[in-house]
Amino acid sequence: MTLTSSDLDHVIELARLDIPETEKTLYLAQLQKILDSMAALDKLDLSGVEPTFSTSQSVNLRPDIDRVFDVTPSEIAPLWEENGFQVPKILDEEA
Amino acid sequence: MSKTYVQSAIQIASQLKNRQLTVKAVVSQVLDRIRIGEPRIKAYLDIFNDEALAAADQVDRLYDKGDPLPPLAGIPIAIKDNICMKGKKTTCASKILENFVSPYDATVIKKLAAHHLIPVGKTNMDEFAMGSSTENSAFFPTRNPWDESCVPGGSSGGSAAAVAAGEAILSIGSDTGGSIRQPASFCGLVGMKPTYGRVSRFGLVAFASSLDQIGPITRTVEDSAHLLNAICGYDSLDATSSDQAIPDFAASLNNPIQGRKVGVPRHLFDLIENAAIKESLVNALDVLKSDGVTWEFVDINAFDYAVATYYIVAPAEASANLSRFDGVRYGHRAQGVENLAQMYKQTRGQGFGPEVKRRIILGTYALSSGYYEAYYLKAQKARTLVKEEFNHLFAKYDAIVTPTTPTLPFKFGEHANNPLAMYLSDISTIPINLAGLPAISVPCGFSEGLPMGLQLIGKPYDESTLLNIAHQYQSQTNHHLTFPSQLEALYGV
Repeated sequence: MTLTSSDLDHVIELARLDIPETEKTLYLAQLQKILDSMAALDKLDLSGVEPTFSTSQSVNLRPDIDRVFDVTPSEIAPLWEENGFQVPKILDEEA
Repeated sequence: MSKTYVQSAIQIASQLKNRQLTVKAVVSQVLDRIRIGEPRIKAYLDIFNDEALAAADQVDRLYDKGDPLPPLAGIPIAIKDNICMKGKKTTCASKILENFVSPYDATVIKKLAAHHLIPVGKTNMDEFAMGSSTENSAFFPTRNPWDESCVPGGSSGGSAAAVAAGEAILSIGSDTGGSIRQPASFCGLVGMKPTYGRVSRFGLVAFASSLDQIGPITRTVEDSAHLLNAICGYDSLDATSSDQAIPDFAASLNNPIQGRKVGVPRHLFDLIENAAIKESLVNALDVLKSDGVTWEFVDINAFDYAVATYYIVAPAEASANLSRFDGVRYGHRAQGVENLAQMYKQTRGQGFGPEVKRRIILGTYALSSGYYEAYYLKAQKARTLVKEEFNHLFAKYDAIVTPTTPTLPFKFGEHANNPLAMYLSDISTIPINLAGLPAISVPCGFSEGLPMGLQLIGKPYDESTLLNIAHQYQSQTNHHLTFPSQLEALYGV
């Protein structure tokens, strides 16, 4: 499959990345080469094959019980005020 | 005092038990090696000088009391910097976490503490464990102690280089596609990737959650078995943690291996161009044969398409896992932004390095509308084939044996503009993570003064057989006893 520059822009937007225009050309060429190498999968007969999302033999879910977790968000947050993470305003913004 | 750093942890521990050595002396010697060697090797991102010496005093007191202690009590250990230690930085060698201090201990850290091992520092790595050379560290590359113009492998390159240089006796790494085994091979060490679920991932910063597994890097297989004993076990804090019974991995090391049968992937062997690597594999098979192991070539298709499968699955999972680094809750935050979307983008644009961005883009693409079935779903189905093929093989063979890497340790910058070539350097190790299997890399010789590794792949939860065969191999060879002698001039020894 061919990766176009508009595909790349779309994916960069989805991934919330800021990438300078000058670097996009390099990424486009490298990613195309990587995607081309994935043609190896086209040779496989995958009809009737179920996907494997995990090799874990069991999923061990613990009981949903409150426990004290010794973490103070204010100590690790980039900006913390009045019991909340402070971020740039989102109202009146399309974002 | 004798050079403890060239000895195995178990040899050192026996001298600690009979008090021929003190923990403080061993830790001091390792810290001296770090002080002198680090300007050149650069294995560490953080060093715990004072804490390590204080911990050494405590363990010495326990030894003096004569209480029974776990087998590795008092042994200095290095920790890969994607594993959380309370009160210490966990940077994942990324600018985005440059100043992040872990608010809790990973389960594996608690287990090491319970066994009285002594962390001496956090080791360098490829950013977020994405890479095979440690060149992707946002801070500096680590050098291979065997040849400083070569990479130590990756992503756990710092963990491997630290042990190889005598700057730690043991280390802990993580392996998502070969990140323990490949650097262990490049640095002349033993690297073990346990079965998926054996070691809790709680507190390991996630790269690709269905593939990540923590494991030991050591000088000997015996040390690997003991360290595995210390870190394995069910953990309710990791939903994929296995509740399978844990055997004593050290107990079966000396079992006879006569009658064991191993398979060697024919096509992979033919693909490898380096004659010395092929020869070292054949020589290793001869050693096993002298112990009564039979081997034969076998056709395994998984090696032909596993890299393509992996580079869809791993980036897809990474793109989801790394979405948490957005500048809101912790880590770097871009300044001077006007709105939230701009903050996300600039934070991530400034915080992530090129390889991490490349994989996030690749993963986002594979998961995006219109491409999910063509890439992600197809790769997950291919993964089923990998798993099933190995399952069939283990009905006939006790282990599959391959060279750990298709090349010798390569030079810095050799793959700088060709990420695909870098990805292919993990062709032997990647299928194992896709299938969730255990595998171990053991030193099997040298070429051009650089180490080579032999990989043994086993059935799920059968690390014991791998350790048994690998230990018997090491009992007959001395590759693991060789130390990078040119380093000694640096240390004035």
